[in-house]
Amino acid sequence: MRSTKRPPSLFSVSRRRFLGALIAPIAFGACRSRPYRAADFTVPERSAVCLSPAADYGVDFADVIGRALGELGVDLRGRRVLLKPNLVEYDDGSATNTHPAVVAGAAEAILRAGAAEVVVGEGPGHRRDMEYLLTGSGLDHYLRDIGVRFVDLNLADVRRVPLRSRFTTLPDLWLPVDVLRADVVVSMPKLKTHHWAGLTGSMKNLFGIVPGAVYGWPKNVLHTHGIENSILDLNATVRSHVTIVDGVIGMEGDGPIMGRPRPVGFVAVGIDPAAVDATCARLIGLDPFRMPYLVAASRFLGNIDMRQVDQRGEPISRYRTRFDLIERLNGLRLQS
Amino acid sequence: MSEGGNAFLERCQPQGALLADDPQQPANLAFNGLAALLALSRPDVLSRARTSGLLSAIAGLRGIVLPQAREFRQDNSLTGWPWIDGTFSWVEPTSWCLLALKKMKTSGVPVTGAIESRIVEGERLLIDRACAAGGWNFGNSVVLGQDLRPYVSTTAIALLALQDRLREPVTARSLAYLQGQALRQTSGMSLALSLICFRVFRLDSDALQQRLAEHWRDRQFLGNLHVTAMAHYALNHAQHKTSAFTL
Repeated sequence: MRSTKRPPSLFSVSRRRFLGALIAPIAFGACRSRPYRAADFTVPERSAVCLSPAADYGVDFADVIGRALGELGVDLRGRRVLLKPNLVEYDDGSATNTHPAVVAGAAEAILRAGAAEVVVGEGPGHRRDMEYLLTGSGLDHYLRDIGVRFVDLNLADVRRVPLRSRFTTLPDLWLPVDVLRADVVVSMPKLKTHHWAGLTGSMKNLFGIVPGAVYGWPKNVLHTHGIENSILDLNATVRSHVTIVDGVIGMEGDGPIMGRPRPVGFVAVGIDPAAVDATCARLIGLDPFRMPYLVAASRFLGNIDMRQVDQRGEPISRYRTRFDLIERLNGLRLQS
Repeated sequence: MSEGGNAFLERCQPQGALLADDPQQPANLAFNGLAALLALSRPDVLSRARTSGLLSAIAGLRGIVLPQAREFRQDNSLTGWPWIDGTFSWVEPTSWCLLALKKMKTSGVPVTGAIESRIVEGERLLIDRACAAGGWNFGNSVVLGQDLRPYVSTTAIALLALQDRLREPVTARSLAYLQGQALRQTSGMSLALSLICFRVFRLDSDALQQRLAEHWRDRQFLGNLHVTAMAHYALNHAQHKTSAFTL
């Protein structure tokens, strides 16, 4: 990884005037000319997001997710699939992580849909004690029950990958081979606020594929080059083919770790990560058009305008709510 | 250290005097601090010249300085060691590199004034980054007005680096935190690092030793080689008296 110049980043700006920068029009100063080749990317004409009810973690998630994948016409036959949950920190009673019942349910649904292999992989950004996270969260127990392997992406074998956009100005990142060789990457975020990015969605969830053994804990290279810039470069380079959001119990307030649990009661499934993030943002009372990474993503990665997003399953109005936000994120509020 | 371990360190690609798995990858400073500690306690691991070069390279590297920010409580002007060059200083690489430089002093290797000042600043950084109730997490104690929680594994590592600062209130608070938490841990990494720390601070470690041995028997630490190495080092105290981590 070589970096010649650090870009104007929202993160470094934040240390002086974070809020002002966050709610300002996109300030990716490095991208007066586009930091990607437009010909390399296609924004789909339309994107579909399916919302399914899940009142608690006792529901049959294999069934719920299987039906949503069918509704979206996702073909997983013969594919090697990597599930990337959000596993950050464990604390009794918190809603920090993608619940293991949702992860296991997704694995079962995907195997039933004919996938050749399902692996669960995550590389937490603060903790390198994976055994603690797996046992504390209960994920190891769930995965053992269904015979699915877990890969610690912080320690996995890596390969240097040129980045397909240059919002960060980094030319490349070392990324886990397990992610690169998967036919299908499934991003499985928890529905949470994020005190810097606004939302911990499908796109931000890809921070967990960056290996700590190369970049450290936290993965500070992503911060020093701008969190939003890094979200864009990662998603331009590694495609999450499917997103499955654990919106059963979300986290409001000071997410992604110190916030409060907030029951919402759904699972969202989609193909276009920007469309899923935009839908989730609206569901919790954030305006995607005020979120710089989503606005930038809408130009080359996916749809965030509701006119281009087909809602399947339950209507969005059924789950619409207003998550508490920390003061600095109030500028992201959806004006009703 | 096994013959395989020696060969691995000799095979590591030099980046200047630092070591990395691959010549293109950024050198990991925590790994280099640990390698220096091993090389100081086992002169057969690396040549004297390479060990000396490694320690000089470690002493010459520091984290970037960020503007002071009200979102974080810490003093951003203090620099310790980053995980990789060009990033901010964090607790774990600072602790391993600081301990390596302190070990260099006690091993009779000549130490310059510049290294002395890095040691002083590294200690100040660790003290500054400690959580309010003692202990350390990855390196932010307060973010946006919220006290963040300490981690057992990081606390054990930082305490090793401050083992000669027993009168420092942060050391006492953190040691109390670790003593309260160690036996409750459910991971090989936390148990192994706690046991090494208990040995170095000469605390009663029988129960922790037993707990770690049982944990190894039951779970094998999910196959994590680094944790396995640390655990076996901790469990085989009788052979080496934990000398690699003791000043």
